[in-house]
Amino acid sequence: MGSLDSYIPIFLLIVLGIAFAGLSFVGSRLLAPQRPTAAKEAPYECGIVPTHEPSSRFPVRFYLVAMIFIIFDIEVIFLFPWAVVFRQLHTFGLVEVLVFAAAVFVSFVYLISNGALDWGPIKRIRPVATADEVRTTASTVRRHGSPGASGEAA
Amino acid sequence: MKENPAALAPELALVVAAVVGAVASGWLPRRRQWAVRLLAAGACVGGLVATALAMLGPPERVFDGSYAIDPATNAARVVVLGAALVVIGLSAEPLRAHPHESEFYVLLLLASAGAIALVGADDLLTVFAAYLLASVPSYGLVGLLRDRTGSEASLKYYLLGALFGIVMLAGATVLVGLGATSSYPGLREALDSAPRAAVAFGAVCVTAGLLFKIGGVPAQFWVPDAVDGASVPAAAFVTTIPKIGGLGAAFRFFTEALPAGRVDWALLVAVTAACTMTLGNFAAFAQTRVKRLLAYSTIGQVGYLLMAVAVAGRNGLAQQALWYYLAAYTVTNLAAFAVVAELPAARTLSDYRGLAHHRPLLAGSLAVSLLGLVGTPPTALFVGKLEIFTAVIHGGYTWLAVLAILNTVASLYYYLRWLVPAFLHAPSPHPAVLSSGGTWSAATAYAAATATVILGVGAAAVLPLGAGHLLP
Repeated sequence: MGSLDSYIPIFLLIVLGIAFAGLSFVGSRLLAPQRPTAAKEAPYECGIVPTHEPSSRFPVRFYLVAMIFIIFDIEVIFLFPWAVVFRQLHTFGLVEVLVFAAAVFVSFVYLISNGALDWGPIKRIRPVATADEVRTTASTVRRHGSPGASGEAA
Repeated sequence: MKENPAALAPELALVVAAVVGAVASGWLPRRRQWAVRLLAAGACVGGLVATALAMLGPPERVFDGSYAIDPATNAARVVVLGAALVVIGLSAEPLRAHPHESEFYVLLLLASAGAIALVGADDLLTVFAAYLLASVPSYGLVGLLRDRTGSEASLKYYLLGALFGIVMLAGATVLVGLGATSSYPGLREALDSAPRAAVAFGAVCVTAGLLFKIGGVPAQFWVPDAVDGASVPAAAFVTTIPKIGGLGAAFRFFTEALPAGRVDWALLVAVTAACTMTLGNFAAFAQTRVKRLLAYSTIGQVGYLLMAVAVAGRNGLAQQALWYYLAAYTVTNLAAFAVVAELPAARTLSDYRGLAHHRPLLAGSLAVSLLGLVGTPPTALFVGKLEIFTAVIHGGYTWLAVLAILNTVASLYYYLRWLVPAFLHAPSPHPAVLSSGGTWSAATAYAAATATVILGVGAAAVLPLGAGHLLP
């Protein structure tokens, strides 16, 4: 199959991609020192002993802002090729792109009606319970391997 | 360049109604959202009228040949719009005054438009755009109620859809690269001299994406989870309408885009059909939850439908058998889901004990729909199965027909596991489990069950509507 020769680079690229991903995992497993401790396994809080589960009530305003960005991003992506062939498409192209822009704008209106731009302070439904009222460096930072450390918290 | 927006009137009706509904959903008070439901139903009825007018006219290709208005597209419009109406009917009560009720109808309209566009698309890139239009709203529909199971189902559905979408796009890229065009007639000509292995790779990848849409093996994993986790209306939607689009697209892709005899796609589809129906039917045996059982039952049905695709182009029977079976399957499956929507508290098979004592009419509808799914005369799927088996035997796949008959007999077992307790057992000690969901769901169940029988009795009149040559 001589005509398949031109596909060899694509095939090689696929093989290379899989090999790189696979080798990275294997290499990391083989080379990295693995001495897990409780502190290393814990989710990050910059070395501070977590006192309560992270609140799941993240404000999702940011996602809506990102959505607004994507809406207009996509509109612009379509406007560029349209602008290039605008003269060939004449009135049909103009009407078409206006309809498209109107449809895109509707999604923006929908987001606003759902409060995407209401950036007032978030109403707290119930106070966040803090487990530990007394947080000092001695109680919240766990020292590992330092001289004088006894047990888990020095 | 030939632009004729009027030719796309049914699709445009859906999209315009969806856009208007999206704007309205933001400003309508929660109790007034029925206005969007009315708008959605109106768009479907308007689309059906426009389709009837289009059926009178000659077939044509519009928008630079990227979209074909031919008997297959018109059949898809009728089945999809009818199915959307039934889904709107059975979702009236479960979703009433829900904060996202309007959005449900908006997404439903968009996904329906995508399903129709999948069938009409006569161009690989249009097919992929339609795939996205049919898929993305469906992910939203499954997770719309924002409960835990729904979100999980939605994420599974989305991740699998993204994976198969990428595979499909890769296949389309290879085929477009080989043929230097994306339109089906151009591809058919150009692929004749292209390397066989590359054509096979592209065809298999595109098939994989379409198999995801219809829930066929090996892309069936999302079906049970999505159906079980989603609300009943969303489950009824994703087990019916995307399948219509995916099967119609597969039929057109195999017969119009691939040159005859270049790759043996028929064998691939036949083996897929055999695996799909066997897996669906045998996995349904052990199910105790009704929605999961219906999910596996739809996988089994997709196996039968794929049989018609396997013999596409070999004889004239395959196409009319496919569209008749799709119409029959749609109405029968939706009748079963309407019964499930009418009994929102009954989740397992044992909850249906003694249904015939409490609600004889509803139990009758359930019996008609489940026995219809087996293929008992005089329901529509009996004629549908007869048509498909004939087409398959004429097409030279006798082994597939034999396997399908064995599967049909086996499937009787799990449908009866549901029906027998409903009819023979004493009335349930907890009648609350069989409390009614509302009049709209019940009416939809009765209407759909009646339609199953009417479609079966009147098969002779309906069958030719799915026939007629596809545009080259």
